[in-house]
Amino acid sequence: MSGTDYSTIDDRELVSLARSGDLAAFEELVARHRDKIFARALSLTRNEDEALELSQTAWVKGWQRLQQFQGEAGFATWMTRIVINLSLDHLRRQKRQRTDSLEALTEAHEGREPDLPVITENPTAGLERRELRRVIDAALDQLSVDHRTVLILHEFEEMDYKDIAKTMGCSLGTVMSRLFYARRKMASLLAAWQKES
Amino acid sequence: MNWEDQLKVQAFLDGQLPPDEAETTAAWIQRDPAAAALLAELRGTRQAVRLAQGPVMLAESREFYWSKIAQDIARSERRFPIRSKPGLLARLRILVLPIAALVVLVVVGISLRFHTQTAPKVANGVPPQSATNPKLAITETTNTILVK
Repeated sequence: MSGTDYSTIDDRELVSLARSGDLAAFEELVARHRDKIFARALSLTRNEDEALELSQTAWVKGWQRLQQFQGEAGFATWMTRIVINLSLDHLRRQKRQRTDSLEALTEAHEGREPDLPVITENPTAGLERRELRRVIDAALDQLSVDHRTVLILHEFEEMDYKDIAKTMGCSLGTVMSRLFYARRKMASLLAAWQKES
Repeated sequence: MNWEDQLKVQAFLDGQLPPDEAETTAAWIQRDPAAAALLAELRGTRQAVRLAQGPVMLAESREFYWSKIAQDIARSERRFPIRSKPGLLARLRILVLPIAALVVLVVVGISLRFHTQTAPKVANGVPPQSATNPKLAITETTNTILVK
């Protein structure tokens, strides 16, 4: 399809063209959704270089698996699942390579933190969106990989507990416990930040 | 509040409880100030995290970002060429070869059986047919029938 203006074609049609071997159609899909795919890898890995590489690997996998795309969910959602799985594999490999003692300790307690007091005032009230992003980002950095991952999958990807458990290969109870700990930890970090500022 | 109750408050917030359990949990939270405070904190954190999610822009240009993907795709296809699904004709063609081989085997088998049944026997000292028929001579070593 030389001379075709791919930017005017919708995702479904582009996928169909790409499945028949049209690489230019696939390039248009990449251009459309690359920011979202990179953003998800970045939110999970917290490292720009790793996120860039993982997002590109995800696109290569996407091309190789196009025949498996059934189209029940949108193409971007399908691609997001690929990059999430790649990022989780990458994080697991990293975890195996280094023993994170703090994380191991948290896991041993199943993420329970009974001593955290309930925060009664909203520490982020009145913050501008850009400032809020900076504060939340800094707080996310302080969570362990497992707790941050559950929080991101639930809040950003809007996955339910069951889906998260399946994606992460853990039990429903572990998901609930990690999510609870992550939220409570975030609340206490945000409250501490408010006190400091 | 025990651990299970705390997780129940969270599951209520996330809409993960079955309808009847959600109803009783809502009533309990209304009566229990500690549960209500926990729900408010979890809700506030959830809202803040969701609001903080914004667009992320890749710094790399479209061409630069794509070039690595294109290279990797080309490399992977050289190693593992992706084949499209075979059509009906191609799938039939795949079946034809084994079926033809089977047919040949059956025909050869039948003809061999027929041949051994009709060939003259020389075992157990039974004289071959050629002994009584002067027109035929059989050389036992080769089992070849020569017509004189």
